[in-house]
Amino acid sequence: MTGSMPRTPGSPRTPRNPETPGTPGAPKNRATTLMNSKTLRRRLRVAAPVLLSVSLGLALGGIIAALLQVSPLDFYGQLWSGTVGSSFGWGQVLYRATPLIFCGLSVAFAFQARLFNIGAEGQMAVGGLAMAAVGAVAPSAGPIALILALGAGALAGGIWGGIPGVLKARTGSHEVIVTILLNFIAFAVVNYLLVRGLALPETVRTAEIVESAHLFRLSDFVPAFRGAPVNAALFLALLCAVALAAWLRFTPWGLSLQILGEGPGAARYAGLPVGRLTAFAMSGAGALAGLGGASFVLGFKHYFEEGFTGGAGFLGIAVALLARNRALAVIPSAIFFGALSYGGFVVNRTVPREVLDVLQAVILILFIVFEARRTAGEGRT
Amino acid sequence: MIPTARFVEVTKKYGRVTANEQVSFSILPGEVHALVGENGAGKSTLMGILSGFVRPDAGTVLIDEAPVRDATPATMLRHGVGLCAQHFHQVPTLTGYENIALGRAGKRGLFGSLRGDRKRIRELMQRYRLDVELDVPVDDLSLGERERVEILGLLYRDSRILILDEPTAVLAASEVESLLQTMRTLAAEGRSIIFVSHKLPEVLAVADRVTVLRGGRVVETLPRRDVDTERLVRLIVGGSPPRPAQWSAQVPGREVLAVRDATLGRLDGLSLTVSEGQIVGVGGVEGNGQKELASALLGYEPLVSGEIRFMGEPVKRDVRKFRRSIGVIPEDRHREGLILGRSLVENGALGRHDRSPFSSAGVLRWDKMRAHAAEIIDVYGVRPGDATLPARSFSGGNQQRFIAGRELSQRPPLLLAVHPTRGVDLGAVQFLHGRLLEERARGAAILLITADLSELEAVCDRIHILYRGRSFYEAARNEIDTDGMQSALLGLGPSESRR
Repeated sequence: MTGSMPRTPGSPRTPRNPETPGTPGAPKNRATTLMNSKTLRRRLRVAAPVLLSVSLGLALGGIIAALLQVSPLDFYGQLWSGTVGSSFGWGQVLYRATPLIFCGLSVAFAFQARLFNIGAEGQMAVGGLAMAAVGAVAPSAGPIALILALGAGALAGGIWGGIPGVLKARTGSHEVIVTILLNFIAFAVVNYLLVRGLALPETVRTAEIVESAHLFRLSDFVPAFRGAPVNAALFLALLCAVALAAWLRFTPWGLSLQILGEGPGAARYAGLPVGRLTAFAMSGAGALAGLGGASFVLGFKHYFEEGFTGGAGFLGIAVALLARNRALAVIPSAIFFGALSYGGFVVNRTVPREVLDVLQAVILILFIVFEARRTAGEGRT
Repeated sequence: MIPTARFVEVTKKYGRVTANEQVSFSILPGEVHALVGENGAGKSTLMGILSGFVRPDAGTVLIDEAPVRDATPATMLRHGVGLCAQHFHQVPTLTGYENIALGRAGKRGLFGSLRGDRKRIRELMQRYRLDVELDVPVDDLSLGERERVEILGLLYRDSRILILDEPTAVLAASEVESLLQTMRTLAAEGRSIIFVSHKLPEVLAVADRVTVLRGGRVVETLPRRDVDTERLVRLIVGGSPPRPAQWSAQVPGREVLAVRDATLGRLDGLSLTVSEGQIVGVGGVEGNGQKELASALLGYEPLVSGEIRFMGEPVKRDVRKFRRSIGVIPEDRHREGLILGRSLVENGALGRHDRSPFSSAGVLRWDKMRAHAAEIIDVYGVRPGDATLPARSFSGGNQQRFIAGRELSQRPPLLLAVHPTRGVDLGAVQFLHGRLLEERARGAAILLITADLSELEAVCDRIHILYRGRSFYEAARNEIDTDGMQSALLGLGPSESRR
C-alpha cells in the first residue's frame, strides 16, 4: 500500500509519529486483516478532529436556532436546500469557494515553510486591481488579454507578498506583523489609485475589462447554474491546487520549502538558500492570493470594485487550517466555508446570518482543540 | 529496606518500536543506582516514565511502595522525583538564581515565583560543592555550570530521587570528579541517585548497584562488587564486545583544508591544516571556540578576520559551494542533522535532494532516495531497518549512524565531525571510529572536534587543544603526552602542570 508511494507533505500517510508508520514489505496475505483494521483506526484518528468539530459545531448551531425560537430542523433544512441542496445553491457556493481556494492555497503555501501569511486579503486586493487595470487596456486578440490580466494579478500579489518575505530574509522581521500591516497599506494604495484615475468618475469601481479577458460562466454550458455567478476561475483554482500538490511532492524546491519549515536548523546545516526560500514562499503565497480576484474581476462583474475581497483573505486562513495546509484538502475545506458563508444569506430571513459566522468560528476553535489533542504526545521526550 | 521507587512490569511502545518491556526493578534509599545500556535500550524512556514525562502503556511505578496514578511531571516532582535531563529544562534568559527559584512549591503567583531563598541556595552550593555564578543568565554559562544549576534546582525542592541522565557527557575531566563526589554525598544523606551513563569507568567508580537494560528489558541488577568492566560490557551488548578500531601509520597527501588566523566570537586567531588521509582532532573544554570554528566552516557566520582555504582556494566567495562539497556530522543531530518528523528517505537525501541522482530535470527521484536510504541502513547497521519510519523514532546511536552514513556515502574530500560520538553507545562509538579510519585510508581529510580526550587519542594523526580560541597545545600522534594535554585543557603549560 502506501509504503511504495512517495509521501505527500503533511499527508496523514506521512509517518509523523512512530504510531503511524507505513508498512513496506509487510507480509501481504497473513497480516492483511490486521493491517486493515490498523489502517482504518489510523485514518479515523486523523479524520476525527474534522468530523468532531464539524458535527459538534453544527449541533451547537441547532441549539442557537432553538434559542432563537426556530426549529433546528427548519434551520438546517433551509440551509441545506438553499446551498448544496439545489444547483443554483451549488453555483453560489462554488462561486464563494473560488477565492477561498486561492486564499487557502496562499496560506497553505507559505505554511510549508512555517510562515504565516495573514496578508492574503491585501494581496488579493492589489492583485484584483492590477488584473482589472491591465484587463481594461489589454489588446483583445485571442487569449492575450486574459493571460495578461491573470499575469498582472499574480505579479502584483506576488510582489506584495514578497515584501514581508524579503524583509524576513534580510532582517528577520516577523512576517505576521508585516503582512497584517501591509493589508492596511494595500487598501490605502488601492483606494489612492482608484481615486487618482483608475475608477470611473463618482464611483469606486474601475472601467470594464475587454471582452476577451472574461472568464466564461458555468451557466453558459450548464443551464442548471443559471443565475449563479460561478465561473471558469473555479477551474483555475482547482488547477492551482492540483499543481501545487504535485509541485510540493515531486520537485526539489517543494521539498526544500518543507525542509525549511519542518527543520530550519537542518535546512541551514544542509546549506539550503534559506533567505531565498523564505522570500520565495511569501511571494508565491502572494501570487496565489493575487489570483483570488479572478473570480470576481474576470468572471463575474468584469471590473474591480472597492471592498470586493470581502474577507476572503482572512477566511483563507481558516480554510488552510481546516485543510491542515494540504493543497488538495483546501478544495473541500473552501467549499465547506463557502457554503457556510453563502448559507448566511439563505437563512437570513429566519435567523440572523451572524449565526453562521459564529458557527464558522466555533467549528474552527473546536478543530484546533481536537487537533491539538491528536498531535499531543507525538514523538519521544 | 523499603525501596523509594519501584518499577513493576512497565511496558512502553512507540508504534512498532518497543522502548520498555516488562521492566521491573527497585531503587533503594541511600544508593547510587547506575542504569546502563546501549542507545535505544530504553533508559531515557524509563526515566521519562519515572519523572512523569512519558506515560507507560502498562505496568506501575511505585513511590514508597504506593502506586502512582496519573503521573505528570508536576505530581512526580511532588513525590520527590527530580530529573536532570540531557537537554536542560531551563529558561535561557533567566539567571541561575531565577531558574533555581522558578516555580518552586509555595512560590506560585505572578510575582513571587522568581524569588527564592538565596541563603539556602548558597548553603546547598557549599554543602554539595556545586559552584555556579548565580546572577548570570544561564545562557551565558558553560554546560557544566548549567547542569549544576539544574541539580541545585532539584535539591532546592528537596528531591529525594535524583535522576542524572548522562550528566558527565558535557563535563571536563576535573568537573566529572567533583560531580561523582557530589553524588556520593547526596547518597550518604539517604537520597536515591539514578545515574544513567555510557561511561563505564564512572559507573564503576560511583555506583552501589547497576541495572543493565538491553532491548527495552532488564538484563540484570547487580551489586557493584559483582561487576567489572568486561562483565558489564558483555551484559550491555549481549555477547562479546566489539573490537576497538585500529589506527595505523599512513602518509598524508595534499593539503585540503587550511584555517589561518581565524577570529570569530571566542575564536581568536586559530590556525590549522588538514591533509588528505589525515585526521586532525580539535579538543578542549567546551566554549573555547569550537562552536565558532564549526559555525564558520558550515557557513553560518563569516569569519571576522582570517581565512579558510579549501583545496588551495579561499572559500570566502562561495561558502555554499564549499559547504555542499564537504561532509559534516553536525553537533546537534536533532536540530541540524535530521528533520525529525520526516522519514529516513527524506533525511538520507537531505542537502542533496536537489542534485543528481535524487533530482533529474527538476523532478525528485523518490525511487533513488528510497534506495539510498535503504543502502545507508544496510551498510551502517541502522536499527530498526525501516526507512519509512520518521527519524524521531530512532535512538541516538542509530540516528548518528544514519547521519554518518549519509555524509560519508558521498565520499567527501573533507569531513567535519563535531562531537560525533557524544551520547552514543559503545558499539556505535567503535563503529564510527572504524568508519572514520576507513575514510582516512581512502584519502579523506577529516577534522574532528570533540571534548573526549580518549577519542582524540584513538583516531587522530594530529591534535590541537583549544584554549581561549587558540591552539594552546599541538602535537602529532606520536608526540602526544596525556599530562600535557590534560593541563592544556585548563590553559596550563607543561611546566606549570608538574608542580
